[in-house]
Amino acid sequence: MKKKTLAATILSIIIVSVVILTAGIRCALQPESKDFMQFKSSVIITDSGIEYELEPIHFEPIGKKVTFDVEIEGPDGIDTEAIVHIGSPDSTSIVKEKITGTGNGHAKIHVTDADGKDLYMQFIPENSGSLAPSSYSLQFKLKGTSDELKLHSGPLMITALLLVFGIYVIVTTNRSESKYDERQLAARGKAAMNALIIVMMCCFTYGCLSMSIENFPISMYEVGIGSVIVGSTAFAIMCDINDAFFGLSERRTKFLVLSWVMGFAALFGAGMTFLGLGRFNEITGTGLVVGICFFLLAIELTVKSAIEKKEAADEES
Amino acid sequence: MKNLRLKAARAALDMSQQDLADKVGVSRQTINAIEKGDYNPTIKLCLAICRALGKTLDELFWEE
Repeated sequence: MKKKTLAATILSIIIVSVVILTAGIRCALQPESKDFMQFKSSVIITDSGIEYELEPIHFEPIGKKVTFDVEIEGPDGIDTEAIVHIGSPDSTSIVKEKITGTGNGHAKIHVTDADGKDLYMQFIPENSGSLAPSSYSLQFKLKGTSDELKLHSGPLMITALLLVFGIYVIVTTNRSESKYDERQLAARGKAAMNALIIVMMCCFTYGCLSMSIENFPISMYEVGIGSVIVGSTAFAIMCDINDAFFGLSERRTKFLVLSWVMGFAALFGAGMTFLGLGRFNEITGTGLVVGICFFLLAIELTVKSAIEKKEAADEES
Repeated sequence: MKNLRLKAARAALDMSQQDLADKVGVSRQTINAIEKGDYNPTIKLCLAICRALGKTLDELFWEE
């Protein structure tokens, strides 16, 4: 066995062991996961009844047992019924709890068979009869605690395999073969600077939008991953336009095929959502960005490849 | 400004841009960019090109 291959094997085993150990230790040390939210809603009491706008709240708990700690601050005379549905908000309720609004209503709601399913919590205020017709404000404080963090073997194995593959590629590839000349290095430096500006602009735009729009639908996680992907794609495209993406002895064919495959795979995964086969969440949202970026890169590489062939043919003639 | 002297010196030796690039240790696009005047090479690369083509710096790169 070559020295480099042996080093790659040892390094892979060490890194994979560290990842698995860290995940295991984290599960052992922090067996609970917590979620906290707070919101206000107004309730209008009329002569004919009670009017309110309270949409069901969606939870994706980890673990089997989930406990909701609900606190409602509001006027005496409004009782609130908290109802938990499993799977969808229209399904039959699995837990019902009445919270009496005596200034500070409080209740603990236990769901014992959540097991990673979607939970929907709905609040239904009721007028106990003592309040005069008017508009009243209710403040909800909701704390969800699930009992365990599970160590999912599937994603962990995929992560481990990707790590092993990545380390092998990095260690066993002879980096000296992919040298860049001075013009390429200068072009890559400029492209890296521009890509960094693009990443910063993405983060800045997100910051401005999330501050000015309440409940902005894109999470920090999506923006973080998305910005890095967009920045990397911009870097690759800018480099390739200046013929500085591939080293002196590297060929674009392999990377071109890989880009098309990655683009199709990522868009297929994200596209399932739009075909109604999946649920739109952070993963599919990020998958969509990855797919679009890889497609753009693949298109650019294909066009550049054609231009390159034409240029070389013109030069020969 | 286009470097026609470099192009002529290369053609005189019946070398393609790729041949010269391989000899000098740069990409074909870099030689193309130098010939088109899109890129100003460092003195190190100029010397390498001169050696590969058997010319002096003045003959290839000096502008009157």
